[in-house]
Amino acid sequence: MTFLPIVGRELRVSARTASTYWLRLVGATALLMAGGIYWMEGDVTYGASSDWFMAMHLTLFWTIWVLVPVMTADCICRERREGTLGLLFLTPLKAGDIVLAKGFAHGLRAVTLCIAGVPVLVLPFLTGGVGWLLELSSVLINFSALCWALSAGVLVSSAARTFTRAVVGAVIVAGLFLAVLGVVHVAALIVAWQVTFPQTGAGTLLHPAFFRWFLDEGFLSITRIDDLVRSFGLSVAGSSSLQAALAGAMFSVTLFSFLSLLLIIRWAASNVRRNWQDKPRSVLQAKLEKEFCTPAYGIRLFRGWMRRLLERNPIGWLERRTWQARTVSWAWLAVIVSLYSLMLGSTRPDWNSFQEWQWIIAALFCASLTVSAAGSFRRERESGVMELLLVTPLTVGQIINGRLRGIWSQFLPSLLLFVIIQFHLISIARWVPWNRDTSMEGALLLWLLGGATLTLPVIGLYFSLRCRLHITAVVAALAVGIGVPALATMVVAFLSFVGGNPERQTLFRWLLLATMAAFVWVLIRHHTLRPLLRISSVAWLAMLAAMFVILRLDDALPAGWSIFGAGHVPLIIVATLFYALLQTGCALWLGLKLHQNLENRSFALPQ
Amino acid sequence: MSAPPLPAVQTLGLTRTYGSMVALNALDLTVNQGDLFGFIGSNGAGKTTTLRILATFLAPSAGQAMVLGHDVVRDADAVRHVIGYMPDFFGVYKDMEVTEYLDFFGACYKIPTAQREKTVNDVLELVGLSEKKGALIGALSRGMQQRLGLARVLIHDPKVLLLDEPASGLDPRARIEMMAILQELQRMGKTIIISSHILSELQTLCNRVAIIEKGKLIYAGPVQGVRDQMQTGRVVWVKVSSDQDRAIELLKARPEVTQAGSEDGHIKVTLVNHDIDHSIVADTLVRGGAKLIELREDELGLEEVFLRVTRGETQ
Repeated sequence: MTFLPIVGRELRVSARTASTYWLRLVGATALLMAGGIYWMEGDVTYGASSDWFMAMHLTLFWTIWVLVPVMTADCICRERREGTLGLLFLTPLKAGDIVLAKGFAHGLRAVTLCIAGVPVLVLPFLTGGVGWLLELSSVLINFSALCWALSAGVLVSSAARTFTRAVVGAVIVAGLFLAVLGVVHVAALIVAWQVTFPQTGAGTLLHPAFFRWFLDEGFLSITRIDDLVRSFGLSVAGSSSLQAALAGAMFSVTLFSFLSLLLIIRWAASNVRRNWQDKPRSVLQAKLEKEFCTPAYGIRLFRGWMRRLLERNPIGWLERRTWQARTVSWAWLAVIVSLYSLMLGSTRPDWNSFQEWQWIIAALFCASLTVSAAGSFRRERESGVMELLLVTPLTVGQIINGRLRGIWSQFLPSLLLFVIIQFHLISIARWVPWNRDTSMEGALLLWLLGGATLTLPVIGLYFSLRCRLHITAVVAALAVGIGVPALATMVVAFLSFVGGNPERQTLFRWLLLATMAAFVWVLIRHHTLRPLLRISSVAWLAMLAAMFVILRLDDALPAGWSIFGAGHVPLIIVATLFYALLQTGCALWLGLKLHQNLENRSFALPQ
Repeated sequence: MSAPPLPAVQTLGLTRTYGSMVALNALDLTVNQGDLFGFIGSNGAGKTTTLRILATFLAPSAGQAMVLGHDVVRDADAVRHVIGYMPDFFGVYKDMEVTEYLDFFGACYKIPTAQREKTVNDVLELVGLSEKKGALIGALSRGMQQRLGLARVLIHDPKVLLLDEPASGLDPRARIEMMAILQELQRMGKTIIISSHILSELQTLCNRVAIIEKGKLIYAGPVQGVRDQMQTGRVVWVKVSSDQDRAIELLKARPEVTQAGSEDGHIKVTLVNHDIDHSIVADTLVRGGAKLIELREDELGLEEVFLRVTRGETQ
């Protein structure tokens, strides 16, 4: 058992890592929230908690698919990056031992993530109504998911060299493996069905409705066989024999998943055996990069532009000098241009579905902005360049402002295009009779996107210095920049709006005023706020005031001329203002902390 | 009468603590302009902390540090213009070209564009990297990356260079080349403070040294001075062709000699102090009729001095 020392080391290291415990907390919290929301909706009745259990199962299922590949993606890649993989090969260890040990240790970590959710999963049992097949299915499906998610992480880690590529690759491969697991489950179900009801024919199960039913609730709908049997016009009496057949099928799928994990570990081991030594870039790789990533036209113009950028803002130039960074800007422009071309090219544009797409694009835009910002200072911190920058005549404020401007200018062209077209669409959408009026929704979208674009880079920069891992920085920035304000607004709104009670609405408005007062007090109190933060705060306050004025003016307009069409300020606007204030407050606070941390030279050391 | 020149670096009671650990304990140090100053100490003795404070990267917990008369805390911006700091790691972007890297730091130091290209070429020539202008930094050898670090330090023409282990990890040739560059820089009038573990090289390179242990200054002054301070008496080794015992008797009879005895086929003679000329040993033996074959003075190397004055204790 030569791999045991590695398992021991991995477990000791993970025991010392805070993220291990945070991830467990995240898993358990997600389950608790899913269960809590389900419970608050009032669907839980004593003795019939199977739906509640299924909601929790669904959360655990997706938590495994999201967290496990990300947790595992860097396990071998990190050894290679830090040069310790070669040292392991100087010992009697073989590639298979190393990968098996890594897989085993990270599998244990993943199991503890599931175990952390057990106390929450127990609640539906206590209320009753959860059958043995449901319990067994949940355990087997989640175990299968764990095997495949772990396989995705280990496989990508055996080939990747950088952390970011490992994580992105693991997420993509996990998506593919999820599809494989789905196909295998469907196949197993068809076999079980065929054994129980040979008269119906397996072809019946290939109906789209069946697939939808099956994929609902993380494959666990497999246990709702009575509905399925009835939908085929068959007698429910045959359900019990189908149950036994299904249990057998699920055992087979689990066994198959486990064997696949072992096979993929072997595959990963052969990858490690081939790639453990550093190799120079291949000729093809170099040729491709030269062909596609080197400027070919307008080189003089490009160089002049980059030089001017360097003169104006050297720190921002760092953010934009690589072809990867420039690709992000152009890719966003391309996405937005393509989407709007598609939309406007249609003879009968469906504004409603288009608005949904707008939200998705805005969310992805925010995510991309956060990923850029959260990784921004990481390179300087890890390579030691940050120490060199801090002894140049550039002040800490200039370094932060320079980097913020660099990030903003990277995303500004696509944001401007998005805003201009959105304004245009808002103005014309109201005149298209077959579409609902989405002007209010569009305005809110722009408002939230504007706020996120101003604040997320500040929050991302703070976490890029604070967290050792890029992925942790991204998650933390999204949690603080969007999660905390959204959650706080939801809680306050929930407490204030229930039942449309006017007193509670007044309470909410008072809370909004109190938050604004606190915000202004912080601005006045902290004279040390850096100029850009101060400007952004004042601009933000001005935007808030402008929004109020516009809405008030809108109220005064005749009904036909009113932009928002409501006779009063809708409460959703008040909630949005509350959210925006909290978000800006978080950004200001973390901006100050970032400044302080750089002044005190206190940032996370490289791994 | 003109005023004495401003010291390049002066620290007064410089103290730095990390929690309960005292990394620097009331360090008083003066480095004159034009010095090539060696900063010696065990790992964790406080050398890097001192250099970081002088580079304005760290703030002292107590005491004062001044570079060319500018306080490193109150007047940090002025200090940054006159110092060049090279830490004990490379601090490079491996996917940048050599000129791009220097151009970037030139922009950070606000060197005008028109002047920057020439400056970059000059410093690259000085450190011998002119032929690697367009190379990616990641493709450079360790020695070349170290030279690039030195080029970065020189980009804004600082008067005081703070170099933390500039020759660590370099092969002998690269080390000798690095030392030659430093000597050239001293000739150009730069003040150089260099911390290093390769004491044999500091011995020949530096005109003054400081020895620091557990954050406390043990010695600061000329290299020769530290030897004199450590050697309680001058030691001379003698070899005679025959009758070694008689030669020892002759030497012991001299009042200037505190000790004489046989050791490894030689006679080890310890004189009372350093002021006594060692020629009296030869004179005594020749007059006494002994046939003198060899006479050499025992000089303490910097490494031995370092071992004697420090206990190798780290914090």
